Order: sequence, then C-alpha cells, then structure tokens
Amino acid sequence: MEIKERKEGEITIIELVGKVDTASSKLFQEKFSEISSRKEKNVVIDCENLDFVASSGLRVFLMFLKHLNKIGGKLVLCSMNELIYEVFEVSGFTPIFTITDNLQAALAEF
Amino acid sequence: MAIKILSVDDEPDLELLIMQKFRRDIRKGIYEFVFANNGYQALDRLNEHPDIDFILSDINMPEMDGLTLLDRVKELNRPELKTVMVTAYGDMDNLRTAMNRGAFDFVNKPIDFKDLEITINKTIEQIQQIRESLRQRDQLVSIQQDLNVAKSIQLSLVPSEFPDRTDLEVFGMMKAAKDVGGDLYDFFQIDDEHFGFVIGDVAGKGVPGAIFMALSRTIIRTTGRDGKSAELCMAEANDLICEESIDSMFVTAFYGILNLKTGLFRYSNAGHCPPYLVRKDGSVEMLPTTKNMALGVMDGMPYGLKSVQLSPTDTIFLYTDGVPEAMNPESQIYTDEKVGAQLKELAGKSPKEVSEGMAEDVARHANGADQSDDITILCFEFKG
Repeated sequence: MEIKERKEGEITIIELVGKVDTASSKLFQEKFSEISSRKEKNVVIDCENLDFVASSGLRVFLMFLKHLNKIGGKLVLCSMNELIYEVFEVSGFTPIFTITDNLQAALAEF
Repeated sequence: MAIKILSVDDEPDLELLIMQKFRRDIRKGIYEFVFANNGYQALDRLNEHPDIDFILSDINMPEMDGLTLLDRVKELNRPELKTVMVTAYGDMDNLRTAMNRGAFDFVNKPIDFKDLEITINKTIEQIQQIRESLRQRDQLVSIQQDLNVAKSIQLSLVPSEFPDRTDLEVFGMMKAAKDVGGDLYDFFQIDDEHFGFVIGDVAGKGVPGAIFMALSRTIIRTTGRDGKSAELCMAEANDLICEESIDSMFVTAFYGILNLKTGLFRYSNAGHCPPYLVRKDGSVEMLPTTKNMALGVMDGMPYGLKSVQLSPTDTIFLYTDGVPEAMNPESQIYTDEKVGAQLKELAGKSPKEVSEGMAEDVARHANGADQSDDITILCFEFKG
C-alpha cells in the first residue's frame, strides 16, 4: 500500500493506493497520528485507487472521523469503487461518513 | 544523567586525585564517582548503587583483589556492566589474566588522566550500545509475549465443545492469524425453546484487541441469555461496548436466535458479513443483512431484526471476513463467490464437514501465503 498526501488550500488530501489490509493498516494509522498531531482540520481521503480495505483499516477511517468531529474539523471520503463502498455498507458505516462520487464533489463539501 | 563510576583502589590518594582532576566535570554533573578500597567493598557499593555504569579497578588490593572482583562481577550477570583495570606499567601477566576474565579495557599506573578520560568515553559508548540492544531485545520479547497472551485469551474464550442434541448440530472453528485479529464465536442455550449463535470480528490487535473481544463476547452472551430479542440485545450490547471502546475499536457481530421447536431463525446483523443458508438440495442464499452499524462505533443506535424459516436439515454458515478475504501469494482474495460455490459443493454434509471442507478450500487458495486475518467459522444444522 502507498499513501500520498497533498494540500489544496486548507484541505489535506490523502490518497490511498492499493490494499489496506491488516499489515498495512499500521501505516495508515501512522498517517492518522501524523495528521492529528499537525492539527489538520479539513481532510479528504481519496479512495479512487484503493482496492481493498480490511476491518483494521476501517478502524483507522473511524479514528479520523471521531478525531475530526471532536476538534470541529471535517472528513470527506471520495471516489470509492463498488467493493470498498460495500465494505463500508456492510459494516453499517455509510450513514456516519460523508462519501462523495469524486474529488471535485469532496472539495465542494468544505 | 551523570555517568556513575565505581573506583576501586586501596590507595586513599587516588580518591583525592580523581576528585581533583574531574572536579569540573563532577560539578557539571557529567561524572559521579563512588569509591571502594577492595573487592568486598566494591560488591557492597554495587549493591547500594545499582545505577553504577562501570568499574575502574586496581588489581593488587588486600582482602579481595581486582581479578577476583572481575569474576564476582561476572556472576552478577549484567552484560552492560564493564570493568576497566588499572595495572602497573608493564605488568603483562596480570593484564592478560584480567582481559581473559572479561575486563573491558585497562589504563596504566600512574594514571594518565587524559588517557583515562578517553577510556571512560569509549567504555560509556559501548555500554550505551549494549543497553540499547538489551532494550530492543526486551521490547521484542514483550511484543512476542503480548501476542502469545492475546492468542491464548482469544482461543480460550471460544467454545471447543459442541452440544450433543437431537434437534441441533453445531460446529465452530478458529484459525488465528499470526498477529491476532480478534475474532470470536459463541453459542448458548437461552431456554428450552431457544438457542443463540454469535459471530464477531474485532477491529483491533494484540492484547487490547483480545481484551475487547473477551469483553464483547461476555456482553453479548449476558444480554443474549436474558432472552431478549436479537435486535434489542444488539442495541444494549452496543451501548455497553461503546462505553469500553478506546482507540476507535469496534466489533462487527451477528446474533441470531433459533427457535428449536419451529425452526424460525431471527437475527440482527451489526456490520458483520452476512451468513449463508445452505439447503440440502444445494441451494445457497445469503441472509439479507439488517444493515446496522458495527458495535462500539456510536451509542444509542437502533438495530433491526430479520428472520428466516428453517426446515429440518437446513444449515446456517456463519464466518468472518478472514474466509472470503484470505489471500494467495499473488494477493488475490478468495472472494464471496467462491464461498457460495464451495457451500453448494458441501451442501448436505454435517456442520463439521462443511466447516472443515471450507477451511481446506481456503487453505488451497492461500497456497502457503501468510495468513493475515483470523479465519473463523460457526456452522449449525437445524434437525427439527
């Protein structure tokens, strides 16, 4: 798995590439720690090139959401393929996350 | 922190000399000295000051000499505690003996304090390296213990004995992954007519994950045995688990209650992968999910209830995502489709045969690849 990060104005865009499985979710969690310690408030996680997410990866998504809600920030997920969306849906997570079809729509949420 | 050095010498002058030569560094807190007149005293000092970094010792001393002290220090089994010997110039015999007995280095008498300082620094550097590697070793050992503890908690909490009944046959199995995923399964009789089945998957690893798994299992079991309907159990368990969740840990869970008299199976699904209903004729269907949130995410959530009518010989196959998501060396997953197809093949077999047949096919697919998540199966046949 690879994690890319860039800034668009005040918004931090994290792009997940490949598979967030049990092993690589640690990297994702480290990214979370880094972003939360930098006190970033506006975060988009771009899932366009994300192929797979295990439950340990879902937990990191949840950490992002809870943290950003707590500090008055915002998290938007975008460009999920069908498989990833299904994982979110089966876990009952779709009602609590803001999920948009593409990056443009995600940025418009801020 | 000051470097603490034990100086062992029977000449009282040395103490004064050291305090004089190193006075600036002692004032600055770089060095701290402790003194002893012979080997016995030295061992006492080591006892009183367990934080002594190294020993600077003379060889010829009354009562216990420096060579004997070396042996005794070795017996303390502290690989990071080093001894630097102070030897008379040209005393090669004693020097060789000392080095053979494990002395770290030596300085000559009369002491050249510049040389002593260089020796001290070299020794300290070495000690720090040893400490660092000891620390890393301890850390590795504790991680390993952590994982072993987690695994034994997890395995000891899932039932390994199955009820012997005429109306119901149950089988469950768990193949724990190397770094422990935190799966659980459970079943229990609620009353004469009802039997409960639980399967779950904790998103959290190691000991915290295992403890969370143990807690979730206990909470679901306790609320389940009260005899409440499945969706009310899930709502109550969710509120209780939310109180205990740290670091956003959550558990996906499925809880179903089988009416042993009528075959009605009523269930609630908290974010867990949907179980399958397998009929004897080979028809396989996924139990429609109630689309509820995993437990421990958000409290106060309502949970839904669905039901399916079972006929005698119908089998329910519950599993965790370690089954469809098992990967082969090429990182391809087993897939839900294959789970369904394999169940078709296994239709009509006993719960044990179905579970083991599925596990075998998953292992065939994995083809020796490292198992990254627990593989857990709970299967039961309603016999009517």
